[in-house]
Amino acid sequence: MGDRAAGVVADGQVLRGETVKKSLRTIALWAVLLLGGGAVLAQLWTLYGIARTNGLITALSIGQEVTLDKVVNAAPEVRLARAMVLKRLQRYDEALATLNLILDAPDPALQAKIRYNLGNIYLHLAIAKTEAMAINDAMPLVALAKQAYRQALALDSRFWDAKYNLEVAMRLLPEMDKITNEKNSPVNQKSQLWTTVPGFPRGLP
Amino acid sequence: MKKFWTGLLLSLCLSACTDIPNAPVSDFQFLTPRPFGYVNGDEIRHRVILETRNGVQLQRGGLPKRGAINRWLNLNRLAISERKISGGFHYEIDLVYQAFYAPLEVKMLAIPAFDLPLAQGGNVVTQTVPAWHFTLSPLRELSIRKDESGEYMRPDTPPPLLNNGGVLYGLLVAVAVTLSSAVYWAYLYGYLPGLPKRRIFKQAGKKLARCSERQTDEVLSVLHQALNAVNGAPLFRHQLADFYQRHPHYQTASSQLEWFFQASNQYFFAGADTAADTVARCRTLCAFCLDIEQGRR
Repeated sequence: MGDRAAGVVADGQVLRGETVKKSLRTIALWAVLLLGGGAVLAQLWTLYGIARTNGLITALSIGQEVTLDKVVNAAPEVRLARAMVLKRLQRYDEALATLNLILDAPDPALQAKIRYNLGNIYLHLAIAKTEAMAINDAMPLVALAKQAYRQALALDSRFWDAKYNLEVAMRLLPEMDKITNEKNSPVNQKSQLWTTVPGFPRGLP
Repeated sequence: MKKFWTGLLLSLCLSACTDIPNAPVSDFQFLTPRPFGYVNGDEIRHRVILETRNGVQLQRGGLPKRGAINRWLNLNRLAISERKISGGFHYEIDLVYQAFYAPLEVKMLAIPAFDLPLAQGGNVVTQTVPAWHFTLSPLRELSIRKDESGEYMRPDTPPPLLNNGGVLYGLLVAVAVTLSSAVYWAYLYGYLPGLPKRRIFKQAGKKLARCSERQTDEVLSVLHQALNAVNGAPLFRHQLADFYQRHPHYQTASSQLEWFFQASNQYFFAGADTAADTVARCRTLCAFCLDIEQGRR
């Protein structure tokens, strides 16, 4: 009789355990369902945001007008596109200011592109100054262009366009080794000045 | 005779240089890539493998620093791995240089040599990593090529579109998780087609909801049919123990089932009137069984 009672009690405990387990399972199931639904909504919202941003980038790239408030706090990619529009409109100072604001973009690949485009603006301006014979104005611009290309290449050493344009900039303003004191004669100083004047070698007929 | 002594001396010198038992360096390898075909901005990777004896250790402070080595050469990365070997250390030093040089024609350049400082106690010796020569080629011709906008240079790179690959992947995972839990939920609540057993008490509940308080006959029959469907055969009171063995979850409703069969027997076989709350209790029992069916109890 006692064994039977103990058996009944044990059965009751097992059943209570099962009931608790099932309740927990139901709660967990609802929690997963709700969390999953929330995650789906969040991802859809993010996708919508990405599609909207990409639309903005495309619009800027093909030269469409975009209001400034959509760009000011936008992703670095949008502001890069905006800088390129400003460059096309020859508003170089604004383009440079826009690019300088996004130089620290978190993605190294994007950072390399930003620095390359920054170098292109400096080089473009430097070439224009050189052709206008404003050599003193051109020199710092070439130096800035070279610095930007070097930074782009440090981030991505397979960036062939940056290699090419760095070479253009280096030909425009050749670099000389620092001259030691022993060699720092007036003749050498003159030579250094002459060799760092921007211009392209025209050695071949 | 003179030649013999000279040869002997030379061979002794060579053997002394290559494998001195107490020399601080037991192995030195300088691994370099091809020495030609580089252009402005290329990276050059070198590896130095060094094994020391007698606990001689490399002094990391004396290694080249990251940054500009000279006007045209940068050291972008310097990584040292160290492990202990019998009596000494094994070092692997990876160096990544980057050359910024725009030659007018193919030009021979050299990555300068440097010394690896090694120390054991107060004694310091050095192992020289030799200079490495390579050729660098120009990327553009010497004569000037111009396009309509003046000096030819490579155009701006277009702004990249935002990548949505990661978000799409996340969306797929979230949809999969949600769908799986929804399907499981539907299975538990009897919404899945082809799984009628999960809907037995749901349908019975609907039928009971349509019955009035006086339709005791109908109400008892509906519950019997539902229990028979769960059992797979007509279920009688004396078979309940066997029923609980095959469907242990229903044991939580044992007292109510006991009451139900007793009430049913009295009504159908003894011709006795049932209590006034029979229909209500049957509905409660049905709801209880529905909870069991759907895994909530």
